[in-house]
Amino acid sequence: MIIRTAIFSLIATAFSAAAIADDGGTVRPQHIVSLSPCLDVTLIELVSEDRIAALSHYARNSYSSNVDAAIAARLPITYETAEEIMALAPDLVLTSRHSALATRNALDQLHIHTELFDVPDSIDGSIADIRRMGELVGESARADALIEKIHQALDDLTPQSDKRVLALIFQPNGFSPGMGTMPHDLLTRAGFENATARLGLKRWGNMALEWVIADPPQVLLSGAHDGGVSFAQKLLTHPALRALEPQMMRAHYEQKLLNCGGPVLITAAHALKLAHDHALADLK
Amino acid sequence: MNKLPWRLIFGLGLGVLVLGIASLSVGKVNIPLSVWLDPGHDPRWLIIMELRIPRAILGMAVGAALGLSGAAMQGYTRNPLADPGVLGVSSMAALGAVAALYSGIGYDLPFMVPALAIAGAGIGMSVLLLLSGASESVLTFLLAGVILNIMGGAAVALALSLAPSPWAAQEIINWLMGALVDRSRNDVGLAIPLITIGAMVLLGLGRAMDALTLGEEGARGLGVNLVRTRLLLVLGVGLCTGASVAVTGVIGFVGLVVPHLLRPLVGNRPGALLLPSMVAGSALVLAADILVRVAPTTVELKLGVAMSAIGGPFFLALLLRLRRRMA
Amino acid sequence: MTNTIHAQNLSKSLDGHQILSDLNVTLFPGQVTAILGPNGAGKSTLLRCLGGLIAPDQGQVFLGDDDCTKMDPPQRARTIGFLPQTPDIAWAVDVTTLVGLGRIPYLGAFGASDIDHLATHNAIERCGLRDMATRDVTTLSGGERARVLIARVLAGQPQWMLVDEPMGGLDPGHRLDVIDLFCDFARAGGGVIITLHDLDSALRMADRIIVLSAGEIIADDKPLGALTPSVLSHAYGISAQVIAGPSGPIIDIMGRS
Repeated sequence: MIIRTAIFSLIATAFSAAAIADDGGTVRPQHIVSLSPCLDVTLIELVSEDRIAALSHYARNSYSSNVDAAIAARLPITYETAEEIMALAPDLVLTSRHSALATRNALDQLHIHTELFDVPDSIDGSIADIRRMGELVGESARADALIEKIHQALDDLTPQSDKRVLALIFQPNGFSPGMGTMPHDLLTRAGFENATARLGLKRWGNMALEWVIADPPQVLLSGAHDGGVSFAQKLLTHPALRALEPQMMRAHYEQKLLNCGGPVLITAAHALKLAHDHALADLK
Repeated sequence: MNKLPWRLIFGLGLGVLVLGIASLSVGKVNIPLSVWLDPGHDPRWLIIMELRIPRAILGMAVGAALGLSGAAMQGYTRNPLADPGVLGVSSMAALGAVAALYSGIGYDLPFMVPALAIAGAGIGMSVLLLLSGASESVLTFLLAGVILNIMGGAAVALALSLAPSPWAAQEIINWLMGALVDRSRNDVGLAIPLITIGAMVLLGLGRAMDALTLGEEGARGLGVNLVRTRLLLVLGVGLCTGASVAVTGVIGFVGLVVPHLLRPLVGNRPGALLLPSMVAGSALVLAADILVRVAPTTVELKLGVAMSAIGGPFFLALLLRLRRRMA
Repeated sequence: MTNTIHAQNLSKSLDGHQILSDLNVTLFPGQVTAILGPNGAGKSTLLRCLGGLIAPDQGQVFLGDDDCTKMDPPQRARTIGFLPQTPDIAWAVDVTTLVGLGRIPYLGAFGASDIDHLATHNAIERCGLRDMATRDVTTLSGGERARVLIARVLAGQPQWMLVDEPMGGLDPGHRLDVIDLFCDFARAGGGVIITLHDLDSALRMADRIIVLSAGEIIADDKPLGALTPSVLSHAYGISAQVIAGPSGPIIDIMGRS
């Protein structure tokens, strides 16, 4: 049984590999499906809407997706099930490590052309992903233009003064990026010192409120907390944080800016630049 | 005869005091003695004032409310397995709180969260009394409670899954396995007055509970107004459990374990059990909340998990001991 | 001064079944009145109505001149002690605590007073329970438990004792003990109303017997006058008569009538 499955998948792999070789990058996929919110945003930047067969269902969730709401409402979505995807008869499916393994395997079994993207944890990694997607969809020029825009935003981010401002990104549940993440990289480029680094937080974690109060940052970056209340969001309005406000500036930074690279880097860089300028003005 | 066991109550009160102080001194951040001796100057003083004191007060109040609710439910039903958590009163309260909070009503009108939680607990308690009222069988009563608990829990999960907030679905566990983490003085202000009223209502039922030792007819013969008693029980348990669950989520087993441990110490008299159960409930929840904070886990253990870990086996042992009576 | 209990045009139905219909009866203190009748005749319902535990659908029950159903429940409980049929004792309290429950209608805001303790103590003495005062009631035998429960009623120092089927599960010796307690209470001026299945016990203790059948009184007289062969046949469907035994009247049952 196992051997039979192995042989089957070998044949399947050989087939899809042959298909790519045949196309040689000249054929541009016309029915592209994206299964990840981060791939959604980049895809929209690279191809015209008529070539997008479906976005991920996250696209319509304004909390977690950076896709423009009007575009998300226009385009179809899938809930990442193989049958929905199959019904769309796509010629390219963009999947990420966050996509369900069972779905990815099922798509492979059905000989649907899938391309797996890692979740990048550096700006360089994200830029490499844009370039790769550009090649896959046959839009390398548009990819390069996007990359150029990102570089421009990052250049603009570099502060005039080299005065470091201690900052903490503090999202619902105290969710916060540590070292080895894109937001950490962005914070550093923007002239902030990431407060979680002092606690040795690597990658992602939840900051205890007690830590924040014991050693408050100069700037606390959080998203808006409107539209329904949860324990997670209530933390952002805790009276203890309000009591810190004389010495701690609060700035706006949406949680969804943490999730993705690609074009989101531009939005994130703008938000951080704004916060840094305010902080410098305040601290003077 | 009808005296309250004051020595036991004072002893337990002393325990609550010690645990309360201990509760103020544990947390993610170590606060040295110098901060305590020089109040107001160190930023860490804010941790004590805004996080740990509200947390300790809430732990005490919620423990008291749940211990007392359990003792009162057991006294009225003459059933040592009665507990607001085990029999679904708490999950019905959670349903009320969830409906208020995640629909956004609780955002504009914070008092609606405990208000709907109390309504939920009151409905749960009434359903329980209605379902068990027809027969005096322990089994019918337990079964009614178990069904209520499952339905309440499922409704909470469903409501949270449908809620617009992206964090709601992750918070099913917070509601069904309560916690005290990062509660604020707002929560204290919301819960304490309601719990106080509820506790006073339940403490006033001591004599009726004693009379019910002789069964409903015996109690009526002693001049106890059972309709009034039942209404006050629903009101008191509703207020105590509802207000507690509204700020902490469901913390089970407190009302089961505490009265059972204390019963022999008060000569098994249900009326004498109420006040000690209240004080010991405080002590138990404070102790458990200290435990979850010192436990070496990366994510802080939910209080309800700790309590169920203690209460589950306890419930089983109790059930085995009662098996002969139920058969 | 002990008052009479007087029921006037008493009717009561439960779950749509007429249990009592237009019943009139006056009960006097200083005697033991036994209410007899077959299963389902309405004995317990009548007793509960007379004790003010349940309100009748129609008619009234008076205690002296007061309407029993409109009385303040603790006041009623101080006057009428009610002993339900085989009450389950829910918790393992000791004998003194259980007897002390009889004082509940008297308790003020500050709990039990010396008077309450004295009354409890006296009731324990009267029922011969001194040696078991600290014992757990759930460990007592049926006979001991019956005496404890009677002591509980006596602790309330009522003018009336209303007792529902006290003889269930008691052996002959314990029956005599219990009968003596009721007779002593009546001789001291109190009123006893007792529902019974056991005709011999009724003959032994009752000063007056009321026979109920299908919610109506079919006989109300001194024991020998009430338990005529026709009444016994009508009420129980048996062919029986009261005969003179060596130590008082006994019932002689011949068979189904």
